[in-house]
Amino acid sequence: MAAATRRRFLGSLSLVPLLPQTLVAPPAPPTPGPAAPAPAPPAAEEPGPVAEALADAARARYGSHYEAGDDAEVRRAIGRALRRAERLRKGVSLGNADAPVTLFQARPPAGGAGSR
Amino acid sequence: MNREDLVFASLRQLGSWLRSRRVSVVDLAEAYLERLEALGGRLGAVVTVTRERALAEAHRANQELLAGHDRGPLHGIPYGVKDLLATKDIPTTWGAEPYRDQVFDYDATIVERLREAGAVLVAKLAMVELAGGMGYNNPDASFTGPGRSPWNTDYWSGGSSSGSAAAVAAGLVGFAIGSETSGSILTPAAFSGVSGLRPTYGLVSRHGAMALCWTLDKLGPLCRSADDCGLVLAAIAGTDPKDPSTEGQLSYHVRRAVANGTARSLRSSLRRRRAGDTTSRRFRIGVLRHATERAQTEVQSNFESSLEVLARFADLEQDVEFPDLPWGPAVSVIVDAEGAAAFRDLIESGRTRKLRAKDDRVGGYSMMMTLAADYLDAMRARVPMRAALDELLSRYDAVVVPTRSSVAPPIGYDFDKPPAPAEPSSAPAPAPGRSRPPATIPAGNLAGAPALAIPNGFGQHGLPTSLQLLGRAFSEATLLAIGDRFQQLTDWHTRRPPL
Repeated sequence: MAAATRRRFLGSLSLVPLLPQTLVAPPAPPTPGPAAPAPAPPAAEEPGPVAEALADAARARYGSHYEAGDDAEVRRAIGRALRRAERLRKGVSLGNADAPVTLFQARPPAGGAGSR
Repeated sequence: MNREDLVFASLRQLGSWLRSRRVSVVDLAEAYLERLEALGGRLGAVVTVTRERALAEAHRANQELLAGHDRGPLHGIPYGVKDLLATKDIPTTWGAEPYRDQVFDYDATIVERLREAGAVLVAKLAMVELAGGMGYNNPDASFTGPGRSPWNTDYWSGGSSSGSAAAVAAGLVGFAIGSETSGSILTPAAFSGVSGLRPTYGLVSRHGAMALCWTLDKLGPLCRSADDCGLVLAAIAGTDPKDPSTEGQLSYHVRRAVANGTARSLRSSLRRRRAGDTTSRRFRIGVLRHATERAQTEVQSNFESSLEVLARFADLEQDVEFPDLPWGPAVSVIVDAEGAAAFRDLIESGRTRKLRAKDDRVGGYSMMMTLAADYLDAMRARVPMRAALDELLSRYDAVVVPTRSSVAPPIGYDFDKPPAPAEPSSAPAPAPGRSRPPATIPAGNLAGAPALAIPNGFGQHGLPTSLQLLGRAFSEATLLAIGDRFQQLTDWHTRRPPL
């Protein structure tokens, strides 16, 4: 039941904060530098190496269904999704004890819950 | 009364006419059926007109009324449901070609409850395919074609509850049911110029509804007024053992309000206020900072005018800060992960190829690659984010913003393209670094909070604009009372589109 407000439409109609990350949340605390120089961050619409790897996995699984142009679109979409996840991680500080919300209960509910 | 007055009447007015026998339930159903058949296709608003079932239910409801068996304010009222709700022996297509022949052998709980309330199902209404779950990027995203605004059919009626909103706006039904994961009631309500209520998560059973996102999906009414929304909500709210999300989270106050009927408590509250009961406190409303940032000029001016109306019965606090958190990204991660799981069979089979919108045909493949840790982090972040929103909302009866920053986009518009060339009355292009409006739609959905969208004027191309009231969980009665008071002082909700 997502709306047009989802994803790019949300952004395109200015209802989701698509500010640069530094305006959404405080910058992450400095971390020790990596032993090797980190690769330059990908440009805004470039998928990046992780997105490329995931897109290869997607192609291995679903490539038989692809048509012309689909692979490139999947790569871009995965890149956007990873950037959203990164913004979420930087925007909310979570500790080890912060549990996810779940509906799971050990005792099966009476009355047929879960049947549809 | 003429035919138009009949089909655009309020639910209370219709009920009064039915009980005084100025019109029969069957005649009323026929009036709506005729309009559905005449206008539904032109608006891209209808999947199935349920004529046979409607007339059977109408005859039964009529006989009951004649026999003195009154089921309440919805008795005899024709309505439509978004075509993601199961209806026994009638196709339930989810707006999508791969499910075009799908038929269930049971009714969704919400349909059962409306039948018990005496309402008459006249139509299954058009929707964006799979409720937009695959990431559509254009209004033309349903096998029924794009939903068209009754105010200007060159423009979109909004999504994903496109047909529900358009049918209410065009007087094709007495009221309609829509669904929202993130904006799918509020957006079409705004773009079609009707009143739409997104209830608190867990207040209305979703048993029998297509699942896109188990932890975000809600069902709610789209009506011509806030008062109508209250009447419908009172009939559909309540726990259901078949939907675990409705169990165990209703407070005593809410259970009592639901048991007594939200509408009844709303009515008594309004009666006291109208009678000048000074013991009734004024509402307290927060006006969010940057509420009209980047909004079209008409959206801004209509919002300012709305604040003047609200100030007549509420204390307004200006420049209220909205929590600056990644609401949109959190919703996106959750919808991607849950939507991929919900439609895994469809995605892996390649049958998404049959979907209408190009983006929907490939969107599932990237959704399947959502990392489990990212999903769980989003579900962890939900806890402090919900707390931050609740802390804000606990200080007010509601906070207000324009429901959308613009009027509806035209048919054929790609959402990721730059807006159409600026028109003389539209807002100037935003300067780099300029603030953005508060993300109330993803925030309210992430937190499960209720919101009400009500029409508050018109903008470019004769299209409606809308005011959004966002409140604390289970504050529906308060939001509806504010909306009803606003509509007592304005007439935007009574305007009729030029069809």
